[in-house]
Amino acid sequence: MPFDRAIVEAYSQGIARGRWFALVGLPFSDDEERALAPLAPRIARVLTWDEARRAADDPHANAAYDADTAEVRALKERACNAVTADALLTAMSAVVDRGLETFFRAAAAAARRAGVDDETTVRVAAGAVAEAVYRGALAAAVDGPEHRLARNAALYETGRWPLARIGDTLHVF
Amino acid sequence: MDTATVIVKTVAELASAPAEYREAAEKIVRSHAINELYGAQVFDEPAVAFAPTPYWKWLTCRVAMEEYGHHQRFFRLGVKMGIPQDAMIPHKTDKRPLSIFEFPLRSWTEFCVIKLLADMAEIIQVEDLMECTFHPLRDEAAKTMPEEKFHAGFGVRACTELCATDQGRVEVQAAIDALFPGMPAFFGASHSKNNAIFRKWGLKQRTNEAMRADYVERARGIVGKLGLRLPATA
Repeated sequence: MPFDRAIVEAYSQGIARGRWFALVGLPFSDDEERALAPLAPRIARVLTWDEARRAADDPHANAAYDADTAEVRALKERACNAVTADALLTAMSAVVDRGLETFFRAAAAAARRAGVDDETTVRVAAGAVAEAVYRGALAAAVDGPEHRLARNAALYETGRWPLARIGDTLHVF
Repeated sequence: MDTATVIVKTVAELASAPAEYREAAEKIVRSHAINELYGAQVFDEPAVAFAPTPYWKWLTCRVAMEEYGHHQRFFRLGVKMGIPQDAMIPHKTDKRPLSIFEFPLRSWTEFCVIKLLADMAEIIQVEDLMECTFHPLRDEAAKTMPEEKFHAGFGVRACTELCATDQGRVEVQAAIDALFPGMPAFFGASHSKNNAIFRKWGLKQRTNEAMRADYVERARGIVGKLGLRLPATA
Protein backbone atom coordinates (compact mmCIF):
# COMPACT_ATOMS: atom_id res chain seq x y z
CA MET A 1 0.00 0.00 0.00
CA PRO A 2 2.35 2.79 -1.15
CA PHE A 3 -0.13 5.67 -0.94
CA ASP A 4 -3.92 5.34 -0.83
CA ARG A 5 -5.44 8.71 -1.68
CA ALA A 6 -8.92 7.47 -0.75
CA ILE A 7 -7.77 7.13 2.87
CA VAL A 8 -6.56 10.72 2.92
CA GLU A 9 -9.86 11.83 1.43
CA ALA A 10 -11.72 9.87 4.14
CA TYR A 11 -9.71 11.66 6.82
CA SER A 12 -10.50 14.97 5.19
CA GLN A 13 -14.22 14.19 5.03
CA GLY A 14 -14.19 12.94 8.62
CA ILE A 15 -12.97 16.24 10.02
CA ALA A 16 -16.50 17.64 10.13
CA ARG A 17 -17.66 14.67 12.22
CA GLY A 18 -14.82 14.54 14.76
CA ARG A 19 -15.41 15.29 18.45
CA TRP A 20 -12.29 17.45 18.65
CA PHE A 21 -11.45 18.39 22.26
CA ALA A 22 -14.91 17.31 23.50
CA LEU A 23 -13.51 15.17 26.33
CA VAL A 24 -10.51 17.20 27.50
CA GLY A 25 -10.34 17.36 31.28
CA LEU A 26 -12.90 14.58 31.80
CA PRO A 27 -12.14 11.20 33.40
CA PHE A 28 -11.30 8.33 31.04
CA SER A 29 -14.07 5.84 30.36
CA ASP A 30 -13.32 2.11 30.59
CA ASP A 31 -13.19 1.91 26.80
CA GLU A 32 -10.69 4.75 26.70
CA GLU A 33 -8.53 3.11 29.38
CA ARG A 34 -8.42 -0.01 27.21
CA ALA A 35 -7.61 1.99 24.05
CA LEU A 36 -4.87 3.99 25.77
CA ALA A 37 -3.13 1.04 27.47
CA PRO A 38 -1.17 -0.17 24.39
CA LEU A 39 0.10 3.32 23.59
CA ALA A 40 2.51 3.73 26.49
CA PRO A 41 3.53 1.90 29.67
CA ARG A 42 2.02 4.71 31.73
CA ILE A 43 -0.82 7.11 30.97
CA ALA A 44 -1.10 10.38 32.90
CA ARG A 45 -4.39 12.22 32.75
CA VAL A 46 -4.01 15.97 32.39
CA LEU A 47 -6.79 17.81 34.17
CA THR A 48 -6.61 21.48 33.17
CA TRP A 49 -5.59 23.73 30.28
CA ASP A 50 -2.78 25.16 32.40
CA GLU A 51 -1.44 21.68 33.00
CA ALA A 52 -1.80 20.95 29.29
CA ARG A 53 0.30 23.99 28.43
CA ARG A 54 3.01 22.94 30.86
CA ALA A 55 3.15 19.39 29.47
CA ALA A 56 3.33 20.62 25.88
CA ASP A 57 6.02 23.15 26.81
CA ASP A 58 8.24 20.57 28.49
CA PRO A 59 11.50 20.14 26.55
CA HIS A 60 11.55 16.49 27.65
CA ALA A 61 8.67 15.98 25.21
CA ASN A 62 10.94 16.81 22.27
CA ALA A 63 12.45 13.35 21.85
CA ALA A 64 9.10 11.72 21.08
CA TYR A 65 8.02 14.66 18.94
CA ASP A 66 11.24 14.49 16.93
CA ALA A 67 10.84 10.75 16.46
CA ASP A 68 7.36 11.35 15.03
CA THR A 69 8.73 14.05 12.73
CA ALA A 70 11.39 11.66 11.44
CA GLU A 71 8.69 9.06 10.85
CA VAL A 72 6.66 11.59 8.84
CA ARG A 73 9.69 12.23 6.62
CA ALA A 74 10.06 8.49 6.04
CA LEU A 75 6.36 8.13 5.27
CA LYS A 76 6.55 10.95 2.73
CA GLU A 77 9.48 9.28 1.03
CA ARG A 78 7.49 6.06 0.78
CA ALA A 79 4.47 7.94 -0.55
CA CYS A 80 6.64 9.59 -3.20
CA ASN A 81 7.51 6.17 -4.56
CA ALA A 82 3.87 5.95 -5.62
CA VAL A 83 2.87 9.52 -6.47
CA THR A 84 4.66 12.70 -7.44
CA ALA A 85 5.56 15.22 -4.75
CA ASP A 86 3.02 17.62 -6.29
CA ALA A 87 0.27 15.01 -6.15
CA LEU A 88 1.12 14.22 -2.53
CA LEU A 89 1.04 17.91 -1.65
CA THR A 90 -2.32 18.34 -3.34
CA ALA A 91 -3.84 15.33 -1.58
CA MET A 92 -2.52 16.33 1.84
CA SER A 93 -3.44 20.00 1.40
CA ALA A 94 -7.09 18.96 1.36
CA VAL A 95 -6.69 17.86 4.99
CA VAL A 96 -5.16 21.20 5.93
CA ASP A 97 -7.90 23.14 4.12
CA ARG A 98 -10.71 21.15 5.69
CA GLY A 99 -9.37 21.56 9.22
CA LEU A 100 -8.42 25.22 9.10
CA GLU A 101 -11.64 26.64 10.56
CA THR A 102 -13.06 23.50 12.17
CA PHE A 103 -10.13 22.83 14.46
CA PHE A 104 -9.87 26.42 15.60
CA ARG A 105 -13.57 26.59 16.41
CA ALA A 106 -13.47 23.28 18.28
CA ALA A 107 -10.44 24.31 20.33
CA ALA A 108 -11.95 27.72 21.08
CA ALA A 109 -15.24 26.13 22.20
CA ALA A 110 -13.49 23.65 24.49
CA ALA A 111 -11.33 26.37 26.03
CA ARG A 112 -14.37 28.57 26.52
CA ARG A 113 -16.22 25.74 28.32
CA ALA A 114 -13.34 25.62 30.76
CA GLY A 115 -13.34 29.40 31.21
CA VAL A 116 -10.10 29.80 29.27
CA ASP A 117 -9.98 32.91 27.12
CA ASP A 118 -6.52 32.78 25.62
CA GLU A 119 -6.00 33.05 21.86
CA THR A 120 -2.54 31.54 22.08
CA THR A 121 -3.65 28.39 23.87
CA VAL A 122 -6.50 27.95 21.41
CA ARG A 123 -4.06 28.24 18.51
CA VAL A 124 -1.66 25.76 20.10
CA ALA A 125 -4.51 23.26 20.39
CA ALA A 126 -5.69 23.94 16.84
CA GLY A 127 -2.14 23.51 15.55
CA ALA A 128 -1.72 20.26 17.47
CA VAL A 129 -4.85 18.64 16.10
CA ALA A 130 -4.15 19.82 12.56
CA GLU A 131 -0.67 18.36 12.65
CA ALA A 132 -1.91 15.10 14.19
CA VAL A 133 -4.67 14.58 11.64
CA TYR A 134 -2.31 15.41 8.77
CA ARG A 135 0.21 12.90 10.09
CA GLY A 136 -2.46 10.33 10.82
CA ALA A 137 -3.88 10.57 7.31
CA LEU A 138 -0.43 10.23 5.79
CA ALA A 139 0.46 7.26 8.00
CA ALA A 140 -2.80 5.46 7.34
CA ALA A 141 -2.52 6.08 3.59
CA VAL A 142 1.03 4.72 3.47
CA ASP A 143 1.14 2.12 6.22
CA GLY A 144 -2.41 1.38 7.32
CA PRO A 145 -4.66 2.33 10.23
CA GLU A 146 -2.58 0.61 12.92
CA HIS A 147 0.35 2.97 12.47
CA ARG A 148 1.06 4.85 15.72
CA LEU A 149 0.44 8.24 14.06
CA ALA A 150 -2.96 7.04 12.84
CA ARG A 151 -3.82 5.85 16.35
CA ASN A 152 -2.69 9.17 17.75
CA ALA A 153 -4.99 11.01 15.32
CA ALA A 154 -7.83 8.73 16.38
CA LEU A 155 -7.40 9.87 19.99
CA TYR A 156 -7.92 13.46 18.90
CA GLU A 157 -10.97 12.44 16.88
CA THR A 158 -12.62 10.95 19.97
CA GLY A 159 -12.18 14.22 21.85
CA ARG A 160 -8.82 13.82 23.59
CA TRP A 161 -5.56 15.71 23.29
CA PRO A 162 -2.49 13.46 23.55
CA LEU A 163 -0.03 16.12 24.62
CA ALA A 164 3.35 14.65 25.16
CA ARG A 165 5.21 11.44 25.66
CA ILE A 166 7.86 11.94 28.28
CA GLY A 167 9.89 8.87 29.13
CA ASP A 168 7.47 6.00 29.44
CA THR A 169 4.49 8.24 30.16
CA LEU A 170 1.94 9.55 27.69
CA HIS A 171 0.24 12.69 28.98
CA VAL A 172 -3.35 12.89 27.75
CA PHE A 173 -5.75 15.79 28.29
CA MET B 1 -15.09 57.78 -15.63
CA ASP B 2 -13.97 60.04 -12.76
CA THR B 3 -11.46 58.10 -10.72
CA ALA B 4 -12.84 59.58 -7.50
CA THR B 5 -16.21 57.93 -8.04
CA VAL B 6 -15.03 54.41 -8.83
CA ILE B 7 -16.12 51.95 -6.17
CA VAL B 8 -16.35 48.31 -7.13
CA LYS B 9 -18.58 46.43 -4.72
CA THR B 10 -18.48 42.98 -6.29
CA VAL B 11 -16.24 40.92 -8.51
CA ALA B 12 -18.95 41.00 -11.16
CA GLU B 13 -18.83 44.82 -11.19
CA LEU B 14 -15.10 44.69 -11.87
CA ALA B 15 -15.83 43.79 -15.50
CA SER B 16 -17.23 47.27 -16.11
CA ALA B 17 -14.40 49.09 -14.33
CA PRO B 18 -11.71 50.81 -16.43
CA ALA B 19 -8.98 48.51 -17.74
CA GLU B 20 -6.32 50.30 -15.71
CA TYR B 21 -8.35 49.74 -12.52
CA ARG B 22 -8.83 46.04 -13.29
CA GLU B 23 -5.17 45.55 -14.04
CA ALA B 24 -4.13 47.33 -10.86
CA ALA B 25 -6.53 45.29 -8.72
CA GLU B 26 -5.21 42.09 -10.28
CA LYS B 27 -1.62 43.09 -9.49
CA ILE B 28 -2.43 43.58 -5.82
CA VAL B 29 -4.37 40.33 -5.50
CA ARG B 30 -1.64 38.37 -7.28
CA SER B 31 1.03 39.87 -5.08
CA HIS B 32 -0.80 38.97 -1.87
CA ALA B 33 -1.60 35.43 -3.07
CA ILE B 34 2.01 34.78 -4.03
CA ASN B 35 3.65 36.32 -1.00
CA GLU B 36 1.32 34.86 1.64
CA LEU B 37 2.04 31.38 0.32
CA TYR B 38 5.75 31.92 -0.19
CA GLY B 39 6.16 33.39 3.29
CA ALA B 40 4.48 30.33 4.81
CA GLN B 41 6.75 28.05 2.78
CA VAL B 42 10.10 29.71 3.49
CA PHE B 43 9.56 31.02 7.03
CA ASP B 44 6.62 29.50 8.92
CA GLU B 45 6.81 25.85 7.87
CA PRO B 46 10.58 25.51 8.38
CA ALA B 47 10.29 27.32 11.73
CA VAL B 48 8.34 24.40 13.20
CA ALA B 49 11.62 22.44 13.30
CA PHE B 50 13.38 25.29 15.14
CA ALA B 51 10.67 25.76 17.77
CA PRO B 52 11.89 24.76 21.25
CA THR B 53 9.01 22.55 22.46
CA PRO B 54 5.81 20.96 21.11
CA TYR B 55 3.86 23.95 22.51
CA TRP B 56 5.76 26.38 20.26
CA LYS B 57 5.87 23.90 17.38
CA TRP B 58 2.08 23.59 17.40
CA LEU B 59 1.64 27.33 17.68
CA THR B 60 4.00 27.82 14.74
CA CYS B 61 2.17 25.12 12.81
CA ARG B 62 -1.08 27.01 13.35
CA VAL B 63 0.49 30.29 12.28
CA ALA B 64 1.76 28.59 9.10
CA MET B 65 -1.76 27.31 8.44
CA GLU B 66 -3.21 30.78 8.92
CA GLU B 67 -0.70 32.30 6.49
CA TYR B 68 -1.63 29.56 4.03
CA GLY B 69 -5.28 30.40 4.69
CA HIS B 70 -4.55 34.02 3.77
CA HIS B 71 -3.07 32.82 0.49
CA GLN B 72 -6.22 30.80 -0.09
CA ARG B 73 -8.40 33.87 0.47
CA PHE B 74 -6.54 35.98 -2.09
CA PHE B 75 -6.17 33.01 -4.44
CA ARG B 76 -9.93 32.34 -4.46
CA LEU B 77 -10.63 36.01 -5.03
CA GLY B 78 -8.13 35.99 -7.89
CA VAL B 79 -9.78 32.97 -9.47
CA LYS B 80 -13.13 34.77 -9.35
CA MET B 81 -11.48 37.76 -11.02
CA GLY B 82 -10.24 35.53 -13.83
CA ILE B 83 -6.56 35.52 -12.87
CA PRO B 84 -4.94 32.27 -14.06
CA GLN B 85 -4.23 30.01 -11.09
CA ASP B 86 -0.55 29.54 -11.90
CA ALA B 87 -0.09 33.31 -11.89
CA MET B 88 -0.75 33.23 -8.13
CA ILE B 89 1.57 30.36 -7.18
CA PRO B 90 5.26 31.03 -6.44
CA HIS B 91 7.58 29.44 -8.99
CA LYS B 92 4.70 28.73 -11.36
CA THR B 93 4.64 32.40 -12.25
CA ASP B 94 7.45 34.65 -13.44
CA LYS B 95 6.49 37.21 -10.78
CA ARG B 96 9.07 36.98 -8.03
CA PRO B 97 8.11 36.91 -4.35
CA LEU B 98 9.21 39.86 -2.22
CA SER B 99 12.93 40.12 -1.58
CA ILE B 100 12.48 39.81 2.21
CA PHE B 101 11.80 36.11 1.68
CA GLU B 102 15.39 35.67 0.51
CA PHE B 103 16.45 36.08 4.14
CA PRO B 104 17.93 32.70 5.11
CA LEU B 105 16.08 31.47 8.20
CA ARG B 106 18.58 29.77 10.53
CA SER B 107 17.13 29.81 14.03
CA TRP B 108 14.07 30.09 16.24
CA THR B 109 15.22 33.54 17.34
CA GLU B 110 15.30 34.73 13.73
CA PHE B 111 11.81 33.40 13.18
CA CYS B 112 10.51 35.26 16.24
CA VAL B 113 12.09 38.47 14.94
CA ILE B 114 10.50 37.87 11.53
CA LYS B 115 7.12 37.66 13.24
CA LEU B 116 7.93 40.80 15.22
CA LEU B 117 9.11 42.92 12.29
CA ALA B 118 7.85 41.38 9.03
CA ASP B 119 4.32 40.77 10.22
CA MET B 120 4.12 44.38 11.37
CA ALA B 121 4.98 45.41 7.82
CA GLU B 122 2.18 43.16 6.60
CA ILE B 123 -0.23 44.81 9.02
CA ILE B 124 0.59 48.24 7.57
CA GLN B 125 -0.09 46.97 4.06
CA VAL B 126 -3.35 45.37 5.11
CA GLU B 127 -4.45 48.50 7.01
CA ASP B 128 -4.08 50.41 3.76
CA LEU B 129 -6.20 47.88 1.86
CA MET B 130 -9.00 48.19 4.39
CA GLU B 131 -10.00 51.44 2.69
CA CYS B 132 -9.66 49.98 -0.79
CA THR B 133 -12.29 50.93 -3.41
CA PHE B 134 -12.38 47.33 -4.64
CA HIS B 135 -14.58 46.01 -1.86
CA PRO B 136 -14.00 42.27 -2.36
CA LEU B 137 -10.29 42.92 -1.80
CA ARG B 138 -11.02 45.25 1.13
CA ASP B 139 -13.20 42.55 2.69
CA GLU B 140 -10.61 39.79 2.34
CA ALA B 141 -7.96 42.09 3.80
CA ALA B 142 -10.19 42.81 6.78
CA LYS B 143 -10.68 39.10 7.40
CA THR B 144 -6.94 38.49 7.56
CA MET B 145 -6.27 41.39 9.94
CA PRO B 146 -7.06 39.69 13.30
CA GLU B 147 -4.72 36.84 12.44
CA GLU B 148 -2.00 39.19 11.19
CA LYS B 149 -2.23 41.07 14.47
CA PHE B 150 -1.98 37.82 16.38
CA HIS B 151 1.12 36.82 14.39
CA ALA B 152 2.84 40.12 15.14
CA GLY B 153 1.80 39.74 18.80
CA PHE B 154 3.30 36.27 18.75
CA GLY B 155 6.57 37.90 17.68
CA VAL B 156 6.38 40.39 20.54
CA ARG B 157 5.64 37.70 23.11
CA ALA B 158 8.28 35.28 21.85
CA CYS B 159 10.96 37.98 21.61
CA THR B 160 10.05 39.25 25.08
CA GLU B 161 10.57 35.73 26.47
CA LEU B 162 13.85 35.37 24.60
CA CYS B 163 15.06 38.73 25.94
CA ALA B 164 14.61 37.51 29.51
CA THR B 165 18.21 36.26 29.40
CA ASP B 166 21.38 38.14 28.44
CA GLN B 167 22.22 35.55 25.79
CA GLY B 168 18.69 35.78 24.41
CA ARG B 169 18.88 39.57 24.18
CA VAL B 170 22.14 39.33 22.26
CA GLU B 171 20.61 36.84 19.84
CA VAL B 172 17.44 38.87 19.30
CA GLN B 173 19.50 42.01 18.64
CA ALA B 174 21.68 40.07 16.17
CA ALA B 175 18.58 38.83 14.37
CA ILE B 176 17.15 42.36 14.21
CA ASP B 177 20.47 43.61 12.81
CA ALA B 178 20.44 40.89 10.17
CA LEU B 179 16.77 41.13 9.16
CA PHE B 180 15.88 44.78 9.42
CA PRO B 181 18.03 46.22 6.61
CA GLY B 182 15.94 44.23 4.13
CA MET B 183 12.61 45.30 5.58
CA PRO B 184 12.13 48.80 4.07
CA ALA B 185 12.21 47.24 0.57
CA PHE B 186 9.04 45.35 1.56
CA PHE B 187 7.09 48.53 0.75
CA GLY B 188 8.31 48.82 -2.82
CA ALA B 189 10.26 51.49 -4.64
CA SER B 190 9.97 55.19 -3.91
CA HIS B 191 8.13 57.16 -6.62
CA SER B 192 6.62 53.87 -7.79
CA LYS B 193 4.47 54.08 -10.92
CA ASN B 194 2.40 51.12 -9.76
CA ASN B 195 1.73 52.77 -6.42
CA ALA B 196 0.70 55.99 -8.18
CA ILE B 197 -1.87 54.04 -10.20
CA PHE B 198 -3.10 52.19 -7.10
CA ARG B 199 -3.64 55.54 -5.35
CA LYS B 200 -5.19 57.14 -8.41
CA TRP B 201 -7.98 54.55 -8.22
CA GLY B 202 -8.22 54.39 -4.45
CA LEU B 203 -6.98 50.81 -4.36
CA LYS B 204 -4.28 51.99 -1.99
CA GLN B 205 -4.24 55.14 0.09
CA ARG B 206 -0.63 55.88 0.92
CA THR B 207 2.64 56.15 -0.97
CA ASN B 208 5.27 53.49 -0.50
CA GLU B 209 7.43 56.14 1.12
CA ALA B 210 4.75 57.04 3.66
CA MET B 211 4.10 53.44 4.59
CA ARG B 212 7.82 52.79 4.88
CA ALA B 213 8.31 55.79 7.17
CA ASP B 214 5.36 54.70 9.31
CA TYR B 215 6.83 51.21 9.48
CA VAL B 216 10.27 52.36 10.57
CA GLU B 217 8.76 54.42 13.38
CA ARG B 218 6.54 51.58 14.57
CA ALA B 219 9.44 49.12 14.36
CA ARG B 220 11.64 51.51 16.34
CA GLY B 221 8.95 51.70 19.01
CA ILE B 222 8.40 47.97 19.36
CA VAL B 223 12.11 47.17 19.36
CA GLY B 224 12.69 49.94 21.90
CA LYS B 225 10.15 48.34 24.24
CA LEU B 226 12.33 45.24 24.22
CA GLY B 227 15.25 47.41 25.29
CA LEU B 228 16.90 46.89 21.91
CA ARG B 229 17.57 49.13 18.89
CA LEU B 230 17.20 49.15 15.16
CA PRO B 231 20.47 48.99 13.21
CA ALA B 232 22.03 52.22 12.01
CA THR B 233 20.64 51.74 8.48
CA ALA B 234 17.26 52.83 9.88
